[in-house]
Amino acid sequence: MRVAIVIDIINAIFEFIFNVLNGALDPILTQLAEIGFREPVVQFMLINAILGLSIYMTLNCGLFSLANAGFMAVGAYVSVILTQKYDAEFGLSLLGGALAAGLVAIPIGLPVLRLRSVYLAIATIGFGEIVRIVVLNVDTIATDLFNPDEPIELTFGARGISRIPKLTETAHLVFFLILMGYLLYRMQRSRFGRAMTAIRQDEKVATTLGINVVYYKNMAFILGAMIAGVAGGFSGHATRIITPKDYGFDKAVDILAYAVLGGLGHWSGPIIGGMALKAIPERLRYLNEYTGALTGAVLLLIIIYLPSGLVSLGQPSFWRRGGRFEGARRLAGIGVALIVLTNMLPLRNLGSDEVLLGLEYWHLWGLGAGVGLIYWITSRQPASTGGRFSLPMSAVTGLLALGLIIAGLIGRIDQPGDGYYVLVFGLLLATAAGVIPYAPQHTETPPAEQVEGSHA
Amino acid sequence: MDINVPQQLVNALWLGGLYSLFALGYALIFSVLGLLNLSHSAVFACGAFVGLYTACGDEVFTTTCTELDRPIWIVIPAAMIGAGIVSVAVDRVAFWPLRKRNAPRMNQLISSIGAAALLVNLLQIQFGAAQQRFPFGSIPNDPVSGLPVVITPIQITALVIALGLMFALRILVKRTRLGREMRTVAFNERVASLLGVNVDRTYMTAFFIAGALAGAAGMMYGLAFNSMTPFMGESVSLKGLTVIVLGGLGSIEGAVIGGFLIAAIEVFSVALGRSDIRDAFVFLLLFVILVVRPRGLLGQGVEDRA
Repeated sequence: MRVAIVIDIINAIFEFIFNVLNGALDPILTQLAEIGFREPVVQFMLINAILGLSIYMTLNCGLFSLANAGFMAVGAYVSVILTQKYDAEFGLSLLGGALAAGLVAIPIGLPVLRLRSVYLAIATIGFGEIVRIVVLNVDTIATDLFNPDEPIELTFGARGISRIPKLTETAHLVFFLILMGYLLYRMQRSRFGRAMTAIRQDEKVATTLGINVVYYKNMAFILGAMIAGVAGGFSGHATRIITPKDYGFDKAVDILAYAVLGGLGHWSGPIIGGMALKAIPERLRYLNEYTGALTGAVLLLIIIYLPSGLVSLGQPSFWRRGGRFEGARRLAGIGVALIVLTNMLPLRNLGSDEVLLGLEYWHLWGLGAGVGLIYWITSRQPASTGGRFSLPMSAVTGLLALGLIIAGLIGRIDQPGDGYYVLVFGLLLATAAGVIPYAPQHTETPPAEQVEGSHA
Repeated sequence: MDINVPQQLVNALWLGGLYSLFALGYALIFSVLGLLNLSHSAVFACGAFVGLYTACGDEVFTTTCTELDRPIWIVIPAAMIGAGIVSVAVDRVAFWPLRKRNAPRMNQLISSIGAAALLVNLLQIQFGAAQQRFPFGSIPNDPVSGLPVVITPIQITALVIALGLMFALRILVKRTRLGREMRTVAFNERVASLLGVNVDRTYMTAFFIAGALAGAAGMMYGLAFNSMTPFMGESVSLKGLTVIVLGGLGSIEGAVIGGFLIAAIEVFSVALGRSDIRDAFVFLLLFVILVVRPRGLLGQGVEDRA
């Protein structure tokens, strides 16, 4: 009786929160839909953000773990089975998924977290694959073991579970993300968070400071697993079908890419990175078969140009480091490369009315020319450290960028079939642009950001 | 349950040869640079397609290959050279800029993923996502007669080439000046450069050799199954990782033994009738090895290397 009242009250509170959130989200979602991000896409961006947070938990503690896809699978399967077979409430099924993932993480974490760097990464990849294979075969094995007469059907093997009720709403995701963001923000300033940071920076020193390294590492691992479990539950109820191959090696690596792309310096990095890695291919979808290639190229470019991830754009030190124009030059490098790539590639199957981010072609060419000029001019400024790059090579790069843009303006490359060569050419250019100004001639002192071994 | 043990051993041998060859590239890069090159499987696929293009000509861009322009044996050297060049290009594009800046290893891992995605998608744009094959009859696929086991000439060739390349690599690393330079760089980059080793060139050489090995493995994999897709690397990428972990990260002999061991486990678990859980065996083994003996079967301890 009393329990029922408590549940009613909790439900009412959540309903109120989601109503308010829905009201706030509606205009934003309409705006996003207008520029091409419809609600399902937004939902997956948010789920990616949660996944990014889950790997941030472990990376923040110096653990290079790739187990999150496996935990996501555990969470997804458990919560989907709970809602589908046992008609559990969505919130409860998510909690169940998270708890299951956390419980699995305890026996895995205890032996595995002794490993370091690449060894830990590979062991956790192995764990992810084992989860995938178990999910794939649990039906046949259970049937063989317990009940040979009547087949047990729990995960449906490779076919996966289909016709899952679509319960995930954008408001749920936003609420969870805000909650997690707040908790992480608080955590970073707490004893718990500082202990983790200390472990990441130097495990031995952390031990001498009286930090129980094993405890904190396992806590980080378990918390990361639980967040991944929730993300799995959300994604299962958003895609409405889950199969074991959704949670393989590729997914594990994708999740790592969210965190690294966004940047590990700040908890918002993985959120931004996760959303960006969903948004970029979506934004480039009109390129058809070039989408995958370009997404790979974008990932490469961001890693090369923004070594500390997308969040470093928001840090003042990024704009000041290495002379006045350093930040501007890096951005310009990315800008030129992206604009060249996105606009020259798809010409063979693009109508003239296709636009990118609401801009028409000639806008983009103009922008490209402008950015190229900025790049060229700024790269001629000697950096404050003195003589870090050779002037002629930078000038050559700048001229190449300009030449490419002019060629695009004249339309010489607009001929069908040339897109591919332009892609290669643009990539070479981008590489040159990234490499030449950065080849330091003095290598006596490694930069302070070198944290080899600590979390790599 | 009776299984034909000699036959399964033969199957495990030639498959193991390919796995080892592929994993050697991983191991080489890991020992010299200390990083996992996840684009290695994409280079593997590139090798197969370079070979296919060399033998068949422009036909492969539009349709499937119907007749060979050049003799079939040319595909293997072509694949090795092509994949080696691709591998060096990957180094220049994805690793070099980061290495110059002393970026964390994790960033280099991610950039290799970017490079892999780029390569696989470029292959798909160029050759299409559908399966490509050599024309029927152009590959000697009839089993060799007069033997107690079934083995095709192409499988024998694959095994012989794999063993030959492994042997050559061993001599290269242990006996030549180049190998000494590579081992010095692997030990410590700065010490190597103080001793007058051209570190950058050594990296490029290592990438070329690793790529060439992957290309040879990819081409022979494509020939043995007569099937090539841009995504063919995915099936071996994780196995290659398992192999080098099993053998000991960065250990060349370990990669060879690990390759044969993994192939044997796979072949025998299929023969025993549980093909559905054969990968589970492999990864369970991987997991146990990592927990019990992280340095792998033949690897040196992490402390010894430092």
